[in-house]
Order: sequence, then C-alpha cells, then structure tokens
Amino acid sequence: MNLDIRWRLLLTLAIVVLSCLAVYPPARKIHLGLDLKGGIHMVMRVKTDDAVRAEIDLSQERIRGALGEKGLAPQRVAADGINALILDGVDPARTGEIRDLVGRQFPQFQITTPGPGRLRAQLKPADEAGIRDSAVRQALETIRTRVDRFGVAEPTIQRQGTGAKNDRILVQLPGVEDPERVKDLIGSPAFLEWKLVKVPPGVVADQFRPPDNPDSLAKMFGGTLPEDVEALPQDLVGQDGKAVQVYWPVTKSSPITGNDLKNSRRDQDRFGQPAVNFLLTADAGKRFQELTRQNQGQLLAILLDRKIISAPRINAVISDQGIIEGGNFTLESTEDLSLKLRSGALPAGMEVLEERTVGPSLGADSVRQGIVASLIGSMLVVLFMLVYYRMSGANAVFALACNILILLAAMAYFGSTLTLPGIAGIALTIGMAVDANVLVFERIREEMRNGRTVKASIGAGFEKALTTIVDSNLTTFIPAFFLWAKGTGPVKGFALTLMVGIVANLFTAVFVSRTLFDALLTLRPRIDRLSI
Amino acid sequence: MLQVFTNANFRMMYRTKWYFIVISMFSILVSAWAMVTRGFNLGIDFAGGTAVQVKFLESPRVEELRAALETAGLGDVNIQKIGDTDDNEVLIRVEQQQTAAEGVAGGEGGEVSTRVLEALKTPEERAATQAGKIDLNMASRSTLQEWLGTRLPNASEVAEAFVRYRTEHGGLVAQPSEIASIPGVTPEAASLLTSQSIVGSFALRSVEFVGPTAGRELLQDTAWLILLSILGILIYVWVRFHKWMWGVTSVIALMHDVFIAAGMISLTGKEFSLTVVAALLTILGYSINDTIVVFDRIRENLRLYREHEFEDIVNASVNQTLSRTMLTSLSLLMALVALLMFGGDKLNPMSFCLLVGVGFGTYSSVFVAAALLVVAYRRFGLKYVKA
Repeated sequence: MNLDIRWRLLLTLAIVVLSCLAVYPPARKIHLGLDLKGGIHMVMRVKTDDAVRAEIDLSQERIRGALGEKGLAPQRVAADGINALILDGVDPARTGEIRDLVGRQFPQFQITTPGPGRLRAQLKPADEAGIRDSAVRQALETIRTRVDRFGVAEPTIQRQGTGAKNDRILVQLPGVEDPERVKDLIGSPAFLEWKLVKVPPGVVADQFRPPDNPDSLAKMFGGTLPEDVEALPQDLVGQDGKAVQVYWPVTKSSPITGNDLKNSRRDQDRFGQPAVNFLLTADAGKRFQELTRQNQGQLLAILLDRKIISAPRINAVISDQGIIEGGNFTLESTEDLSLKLRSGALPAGMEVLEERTVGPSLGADSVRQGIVASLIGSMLVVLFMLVYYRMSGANAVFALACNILILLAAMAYFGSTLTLPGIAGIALTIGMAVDANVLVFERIREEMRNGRTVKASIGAGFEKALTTIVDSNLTTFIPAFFLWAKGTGPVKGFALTLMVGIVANLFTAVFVSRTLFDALLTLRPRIDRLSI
Repeated sequence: MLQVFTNANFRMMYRTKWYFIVISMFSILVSAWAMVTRGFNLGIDFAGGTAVQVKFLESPRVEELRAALETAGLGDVNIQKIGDTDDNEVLIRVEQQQTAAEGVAGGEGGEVSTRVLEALKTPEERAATQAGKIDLNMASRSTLQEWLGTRLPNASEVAEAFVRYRTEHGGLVAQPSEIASIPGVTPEAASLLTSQSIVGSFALRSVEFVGPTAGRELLQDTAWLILLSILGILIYVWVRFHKWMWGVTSVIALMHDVFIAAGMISLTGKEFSLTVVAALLTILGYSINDTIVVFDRIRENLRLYREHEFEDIVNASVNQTLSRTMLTSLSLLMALVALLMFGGDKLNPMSFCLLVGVGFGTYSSVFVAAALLVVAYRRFGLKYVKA
C-alpha cells in the first residue's frame, strides 16, 4: 500500500514536471491563433472552369494550325461549352483523316461526329479533372512563391476541401496586418509587363547597351530621365560568372501586362533553347499588333516583377501570340515561369470566399481580456471550493491546477493553436473540472453521514462516483468531438481545448485527487475526521 | 461543514412537476415566438458580407460616418459602437454586394473593406496621403519599414519599435510628438517621421469578409453538427441505460435547453456567430452531463429499492443529487459570469448563450428529464427491469 502510494505520488509529480517543461516558456510553447496574435486568414477558391476554358482556347489555335499545315483546315473552329470544340465545315470525305490526326496529336480529346462535315472534340473526363487539379496546384504554388517573397514567418498555405470543394486554398499569414497589400500580393496577376525601351537620344536602338547603374543611364539622357521613362533593372550573368544588374530606360506605362494573358506554356525558341510562349486575349492582341506596327525596329522589353527579362527588337507585327526567350531560362525556370504566368493568366482565377484580418492591437486586447476573465473565473471557483470543502477543497484546487496545466501542456505538445474561443474553452473547463470533485466529495459526505469511517467513505465515494463521472464526461465529449471534426478555425480550437480538458479532468479528478486522499490516509492512518 | 440541500426532501416529482412543465412550455413558446418573429441577428460567418472594425482617437459620430459611407456608395451599411464608450470603437457591416467585381483576385472582400477605410478618412488625411506622407495609425509594419527603408539605415528596428509601442497603446498613436519618446526610435527617425507623417483619426482593428457560398455551407454544416451530436448522445444514453425512454427524455431535456438558449440569443438580438454555435453544442454536452448524474442515481436507487413507487425513487434521487447539481452549476456559472463580464465583446454572445444554457440545463435535468421520465412511466405503464 505504502509503496503503491509512493509510486502514484511520483507519477503525479512526474506529470506535473513534464507538463511544466512542455509549457515553459509559455510565450514560445503556446501557439496563439491568428485571432490572438493578429494576422490574415483567407480561404480562396480557384475557378478551375477558367483553366479548362484556357486549355480549350489554346487547343483551338493548335488544332487549327495542325490541320492547316496538312491543308485540312475546317471553315470554323469554335469552343462548344467550356470543355469542347466544334470543327465546322470539314471536308466530309476527309473526316476520318482529320479524326486520326487530331486524335494522335491531341490525345486529351474525345472526338465524335455529330453530323456531316462536323466534328466535336471534347476533353476526356480524366484530362479535364487533371487540368482542374493542376490549376489548383498551380495557384497554390504561385501563392506560396509570392508569400515566400513577401517574407512571412510560418505561413500556412494549404489546399483545402474534398470532392467538389477541392478547389479551395487556405492561406494563413500570422503577424501580417495589412490585408490589402497581401491580397494584392497573393491575388494580383500583374506579373508580366511589356514596355517600350526609350533609348537615349542619338543612339540607335540596336546599338544601345544598358549601363550597370541608374545614374549613368540618367547621364545618357543629359542628367535626368524623361518624365515618362523609368530605369528598371535586368539581372544578367557577367562573363566572369558573377551576377550583374543593368538598367534599361523603359516607358512608365505598360501597354500590355500579364492581365492581358490568356495562356502560357513552356516552349522552345528557334535555337531549341527553353522559352515560354504566351497567348494574349483578342483585345490585347489587337493592341499588341498596333504597338508592334507603330514601333518597328525599336526594342520592346518584357518584364517580370519589374525586372527586365529581355528586350528584343520588334522585327515584325505580332498579334496575339509570341514567345519570351533569352533571360537565361532553364527547363525548370521556363516551367516555373509559365506556371506563374498561367495563374497570372487567369485574372478571374481566384475568388475570396472568406477573409479575416485581425490587427495586432486587437489580438493583444483579446489575449488580455481572455486571461483576465479566466483568472477571475478560476479565483472564484477556487475560493468557492476552499470555503465549501476546506482541506478537501484544497485537494480539488490542486487537481484543478493540474488539469489546466496538463491541458496547456497537451496543447503545447501537439502544437495546436490557442484561439479566443479556446480561452473560453479553458474558462469553461475550469468551471466544469470541479464537477467530478463535487460528485466525489458529496458521495464521501453521504457515506460519512451514514456512519462509515473516513477511509471507507473515501473509498466508497470514489468508487460510486466513478461511473457517473465517466458517463457525464463521455457525453460532454460527444458534441465537442463533432465540433472538432467538422468545425474550422477558432471554433475548432474551442472544441479541442474542451476535449483535452475533459480527458485531463478524468485523470486529475479521479487519479490525482484520490492519490492525495490516500497519501493523507497513509500519513494519518487513524484519522477520524475529514475536513470536507 | 458548510452544506446545502444535504438532507433535501423536496416533493418535486409529484404534482409540483406540472408547474415546472408549464414553466418550460412557456419558455419554449417565448423562444419560438422570438425566433419566428425576430429571427436571428446572423453574424458575418453566416450572413456573409464585410465587417470592418476600427478604433478612433476621439469619440466617433456615427451619423457622420454613416453619411460618409453612403456617399461612397456602399449601400446597406450597419454601424455599431462596440466595447466601452471610451474605447471609441465601431463595427461597420456592409451587406453582400451584388456587383460583378467578383472574379478579380482578392475580389469583393478586399474591395469593400478598402472602400470603407477610404471613405472614413478625413479630407486632410486623404490629401496628406496623396502628398506621400505616411499615416502612423494605418501603416503596417512592413509598409512602415519599406517607407523608412528608402530614407534610413536601421528601418527595420525603428519600424519594429514603433509598431510594438502602437500595439501596446491600443493600436493608436495620439500625436506625432509621441514618437520621440518611443524607446528604440532613433532621433533621426523620430524627426523624419514627425515631419513626414500624419496621425490618422482611426486605426484598423479587424476586417472580416465572408462570401455568400461560405455562409450557406456553414449553416448547413451547423445543422448537421447539432443533429449528429444529439443523435450521438441519444444512442449513448440508450445503450448506457438499456432503455430507449431514458434516452428520449434526456434528449428532450437537452433540446429544451438548446432551444431556449437559442431563443434567448434571438430575443436579445445578440449576434448569432460561429462561437454561439460552439456554445450551443457545449450546452448539449453540459445538459446531458447533468441529466446523466440524476439518471445514474435513479438507476442505482431502482436497484436498491425495488419495492418503492417509481415516483418516490425519482424524487429521492433528485433530492440526493440536488446539492451536487447546485454546486456544479454554481461553479460553472461563476466562471461564465467572469467570462461574460471580463471576456470582451467578441466572447459576449458566446458567454451569454452558455450562461442561459447552463442555467436551463441545471433546471431541466431535474424538472424536465426526471419529470418526463415519471410522466412517461405513468402514461405508458413502463416498468424498470433490472438492467
């Protein structure tokens, strides 16, 4: 018996010490939710329909081109719905040939013949699903890239949702306080820009060599740049392999931007080097045509993130498609770039479903209020237990303290976040935790009134109250569990504190409290009055 | 020894129970009336739309704000002062906008909140911002750091120190002259900031935007959540007590509590938010907890005193557990009152809902669950066979 109690006391002590270690120092170990430390929480939906539509648009051009090469061009190729193309005015005699050709070169399409002279190419369901899926993955990748560049510590960027809702992206940026800026960063498609190069007066466009600092560039213009011109850098690798920056004088306005992109893919230039192709919208295509016609022989800079990729000479009139080359592209970088451009090429690609921003001052206030409320609540409960149950009350208070400590330790250990409703959950746990003690103590009192000894009363009290304690805790657990399983964000945090609190409560009210009583009985075996 | 209800022997399960059943019916009717006629003040989680919380330096004039927002064409705007009067805080809610703006990345939510903030600025503030000055109360850390970065060497430390000071002072700086006294802000930075900045009349505390789909889905999820929980509890009690009637009465009791708690939220016009849903679910758990303690005692006594009348046994059980019922709910109520009084605005509807639910939960475990059990056994002539 003696040994048994020593072990139980030791176990209690060990758990208290371990919990303290897990929690200390609280500022580092307890992760505060965004509603407490401030930050941005955003759920976005990727409009995958756009990606499917874009694929159809690109294929439309390619199929027309491929068939044109063989002299099989149909009179009309048009989109039919979001995931199919109609080829009209096909030579009925060569339908089979066209079918074979399209089927071979564009295996993602299922081809049917709805009528004479007419073919319909529809994306295969698996391919369509693949396009949608990769659209979401690309959006995720883009956002991640942009967030990384923004320099947010510990961001959460995840795909969310299952089934039909798997097109959602959750972005959580702790400590970031200006939503406008972040939304712009995450959502803004203004990645790519085309700007005319304004070479200094008296210099032939072909012979212009950009200098390596903006001041020398200004000197070339006679001291200051013209009002509508700005100096923007280009990253180059010098002959010695070192990175150098050169500055180009480009127009401040960008006639064409990433907003005008319809699609983009990894491609090759005429030397077989990696490059990226692009397809502009019809409207931008017209503007591009106008721009290239009026500025023949001049340089047109292509910029990514306000840095020049390359500035080729305009040799021909370009309408709606072209290629971005130079810029030290590798296979991977063109893949990455086209990937970024593709999500930029979906200007209607993102829909914000939910956004919550909490400023740091509001978070700090919430923490303060939550702590004050919990402390006052627990002080009232402690006082109440001490007044009502005296020494046994102290026992319950110790169990309560252990309960809260274990709760915090578990949260720290599992790295779960403490939210504002979570603090409410702790306050609630404080109120509920003494329930088990009350059940036991009232039983002990009852047994003592019936004339049993202190030792027998304590034993009977704990035994008889046990089923009730287990029952009542388990039923409280059920809704908390469903709330945790289905809830989101702060509410999930509330459910979690409640659940962990219930489990900790079972342990402290039954095991810890009992151990203390048994220790008392061992110290004073002939005790005939219990302070309860 | 301090005691309450130790040898209680109230005759609660006899004729008196009908009074309580009448009280319950009345509360339910009031709740139903409130829910039907007044409905719920749905929070942003469910209704969708945009909510912007701002804190002003001086007491805001709601009418002027409203006029400014209406001029900006924001349509149906709801402005509400929150917190204590000297907090100078308002919550501005803009209903779901039916515009075609949806589609642009960062679309509607960002757009509306930006427009709200823009509309709240005074003409002087707008002019100053356009002149390239920085608003000390609106600038975020990163903005400040970048702004300083072009002008000073140690921009990041200064921005850090300034934002820490501002956060500690409720998010607002009252005067540019305060800057010089902030530890960590160098004299050069202070003079630069003092000359090149303005102190805006308000600071942004939080922005919330919920799109229409998200709100709808959440309502559905919530309904499922409550239904699943009730079902889970029903099955547990049924299995645990081997009698479906016990499960049904305890579930009636807890639905009674949740219904009344929801009714009171509707009656008081408090915001029905996600946290209130969490509170309702917690009430489910608490209510059943309380009921089970009473039922456990009834079951125990039924085994001990087989020859007694069912009513007597239930009455004795309720009396035996009365002190525990009261003590537990008292300690819980103390914690909740503290939460309601000191927990701040955000937790207010939740704490209130919990308080009502716990109050009624205590009452219902005795006067609804136990009383209904007695009524059911009388009415249907059920006999408790040893489990």
